Amino acid sequence: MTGAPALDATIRLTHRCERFLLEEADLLDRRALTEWLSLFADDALYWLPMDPAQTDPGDGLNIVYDDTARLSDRVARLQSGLAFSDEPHSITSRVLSGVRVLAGEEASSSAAGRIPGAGEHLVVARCLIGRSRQGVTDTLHGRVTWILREDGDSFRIVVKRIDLLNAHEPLPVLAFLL
Amino acid sequence: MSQAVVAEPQRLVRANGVHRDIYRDPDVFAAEMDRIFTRTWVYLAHESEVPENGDYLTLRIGLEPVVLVRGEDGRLRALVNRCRHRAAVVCEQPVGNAKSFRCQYHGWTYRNTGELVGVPYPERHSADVRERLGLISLPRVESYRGLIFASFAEDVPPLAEHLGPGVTGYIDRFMDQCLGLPLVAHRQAHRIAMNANWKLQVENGLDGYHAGFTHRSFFDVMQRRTGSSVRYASSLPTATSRAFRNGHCAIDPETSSRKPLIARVRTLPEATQRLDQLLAEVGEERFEDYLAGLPGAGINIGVFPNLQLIGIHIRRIEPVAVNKTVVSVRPLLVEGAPESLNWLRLRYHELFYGPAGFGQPDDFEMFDRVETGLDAAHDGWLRFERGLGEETPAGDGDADTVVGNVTDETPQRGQYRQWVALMAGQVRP
Repeated sequence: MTGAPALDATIRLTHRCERFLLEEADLLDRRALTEWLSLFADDALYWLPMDPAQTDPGDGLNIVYDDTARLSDRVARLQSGLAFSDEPHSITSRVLSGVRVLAGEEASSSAAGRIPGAGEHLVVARCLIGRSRQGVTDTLHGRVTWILREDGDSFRIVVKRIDLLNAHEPLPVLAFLL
Repeated sequence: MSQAVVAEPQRLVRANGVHRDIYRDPDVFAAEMDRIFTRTWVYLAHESEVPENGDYLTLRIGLEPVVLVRGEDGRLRALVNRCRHRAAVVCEQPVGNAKSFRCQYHGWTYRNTGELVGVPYPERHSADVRERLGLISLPRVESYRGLIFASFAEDVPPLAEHLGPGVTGYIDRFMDQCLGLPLVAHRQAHRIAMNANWKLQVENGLDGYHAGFTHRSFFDVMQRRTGSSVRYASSLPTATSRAFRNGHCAIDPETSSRKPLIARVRTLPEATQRLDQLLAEVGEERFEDYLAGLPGAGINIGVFPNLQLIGIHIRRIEPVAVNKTVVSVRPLLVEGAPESLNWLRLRYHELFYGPAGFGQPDDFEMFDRVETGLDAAHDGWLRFERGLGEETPAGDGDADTVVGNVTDETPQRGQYRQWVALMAGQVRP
């Protein structure tokens, strides 16, 4: 059984991660894309697979497989005014729920594309994204996996993986950032 | 009104344009499903998707549910996915391998050749029920360079003749894109749902006019990353568009330089490491040849009505309703090539295509905008008049082929000539 000090540390870490991720979601909902991008590490992975069983982004065809440079391209494209598929922009509202920090075997066997190193935490949550654009409001459901790296009193995002509930089905255009 | 124009499809298509009703009218859509998708050759899949006996995949030909299956005898069949008893589908999985298909409603069982072999409690049926009620098997299934087509109409000409020397010459070029090594379909495809009529994708895949505008943001990103400015098919006089027989077509930038495409490859995730691996595996002498074939043949090919070959992928257009379509975009890998090459091909494909690529979503946005603009009933015509009257014969062994500039609407005019011919029931036997 986990002792009280260890439990305190887990609760504190989960709380810090959750706060960070809620702020991340808020930046996306406010379309503060430059600030959002600055949360990512230089060696980051932003990943939307089609197959929930896939553990390496190189092992299949992905909806998105961005390194940090490509993610910067993605943000620049969305900010250019010429990414017509998101002009006018999608307006989003995200709900994160069930934030858990995984440790030990659970963390190293997760499908984040990488194994968290020292000073890194593997975090999972469920996400519900409401999106409104051009008279249509739709909802995306997903499981999100992050690897967060300690950075001063905050974190950098090393991995953000989104497994959409319907990733295997025909999807609508998803030009905006998830 | 709509029933009358369906009776006279010529009224909806002129030499220089088409009427909005062809995108909007549910009666036109219903007529298309009957007169186009059940009367001509329709593309199903690549042979490498069903290599072993028993391999199957389910899809639709027009709106008809079909199982494409390689039977125990090794033969490919397109079977209508519907129990002959009370209509339930007999196969629900998108892909798989099976010796037989069982309707789970009343247990009727069919071999993967379509033969009905199991009818529970047969004594209450007539004795010949098994002979009479095998799955309906489409009368014609043929392939060209691994591309499997089928037809509900028995009297279509042989596939090779239907395609003709013009488009098959381009298909050969496409299939030989990487050192002539065989191409195999990747097990996964991007599938995107569009809220627009299927013909908007048919037109767009062979449109050499739009790229510099619709996809400007993509070219800007690539310019920033590679340091060189390359727009697709600036109206170079040598860059062509072609309309072949039967609505098939191609656009061809006719540039031998692969440099801009290869520069894009160098921006992909892990590109440096993977290119080093490729170099180590194939040696310096062959490295450039592999690299040249990595991003595909650089041509766009349309086989009317539902197949396009673009970049490194096979695109299948799946009509769902008059204003709903699914577009399937399946990358091709190079058989026998180093893993690093195929790894980079998938990354290259992901860059532009798929629901969140840097290119394809903007095409889909234009389809939405066309659908909205079609509300303007006062100007009912869409104009395909660019380069009209300027086309020349091709000299490619097919008297039907005409050639225009790459930005001309030559392909679309060819597509709509075939559309009218099929809709009016005037297709040559």
